[in-house]
Amino acid sequence: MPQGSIAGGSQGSGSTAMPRVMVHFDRPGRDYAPRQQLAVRHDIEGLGGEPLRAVERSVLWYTEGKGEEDLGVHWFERIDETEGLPAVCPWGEFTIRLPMSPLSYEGLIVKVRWCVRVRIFFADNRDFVSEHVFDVGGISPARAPLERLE
Amino acid sequence: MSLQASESAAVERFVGNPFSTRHTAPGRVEPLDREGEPLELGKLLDRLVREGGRAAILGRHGHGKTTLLHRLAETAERRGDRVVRIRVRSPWDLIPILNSLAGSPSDSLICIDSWEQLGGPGAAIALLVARLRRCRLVVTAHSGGDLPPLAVCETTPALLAAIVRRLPAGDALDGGLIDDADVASAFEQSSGDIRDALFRLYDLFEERRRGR
Repeated sequence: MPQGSIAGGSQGSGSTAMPRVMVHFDRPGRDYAPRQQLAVRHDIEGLGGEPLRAVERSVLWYTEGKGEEDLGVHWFERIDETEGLPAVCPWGEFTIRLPMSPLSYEGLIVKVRWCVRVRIFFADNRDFVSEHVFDVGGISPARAPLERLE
Repeated sequence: MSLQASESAAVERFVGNPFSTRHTAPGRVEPLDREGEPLELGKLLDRLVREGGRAAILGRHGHGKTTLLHRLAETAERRGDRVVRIRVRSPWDLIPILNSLAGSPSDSLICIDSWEQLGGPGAAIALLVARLRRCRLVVTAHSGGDLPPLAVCETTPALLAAIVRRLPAGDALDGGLIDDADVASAFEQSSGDIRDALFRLYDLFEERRRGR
């Protein structure tokens, strides 16, 4: 994306840092096969010197559509201030193996997307989420009935 | 490992439909007033105290009641309050509500969505127990009944436009898939129901994206 969004209560803190998270994938096209290894490096900019409480990194899939969202977290790691947070900020990397399913799917009613999510927790209770989509499985997008007739 | 950035974050494009429920479900959107300006949730919580601790968020279907309730609950939690959230689907949900009230310390904030689903007798019992337990109570309803209004949710084209501007659209909207006229038209066709208007914009976005 990145889908950077900030939430939480910063009222009164006067801080306005809007971080930017850059995620670098080991495959340029961001296309992966099921059970393939995924290697990621993330860089965080724009912290403005604000103290952090924690950083969460996860690999997950979610559905997108007009109905309720479904979501599954495949891998998750939280790094707290006491566990060497400075070592991963402003950058970090991880390598995981993807599962067999679900596969990325661009459907008409629902879509399945995989993403790397980096969530930054500031000391003043605000948090910032950045998501970076990649593909698993190489399934072709669904076509509408009219498209098939043409 | 060899890591390559396929795109830098600065130019990375938004992937997805910004009008999907992932981004627009109740609680995901910042509560705004009818002019599209953010509501001051802390002041609303203070007003709840002045109203005696029990009040209703009023409005028609799709006018932002649940969104406001979600965000009020979050604000109260950040203040350190104990908050219980319940969505009523039938009069039988009175039982979990009474259990929550019985198990909550006084001054807890009980947030109940779709209050009218409880029915008159159920609502009266829940209200009585909330008073006895000295719990604060905020509900969403189409009409207030015995509860004073904490907020009345109204919608305008400016409100929908402000919500759309806040969606994680990247260049999807700026690029012309959806423009201001589409947003105004969706509002009119939905008779002010923001949820329905966002669904219409979802479909329109899909249609145009596939047409490209």
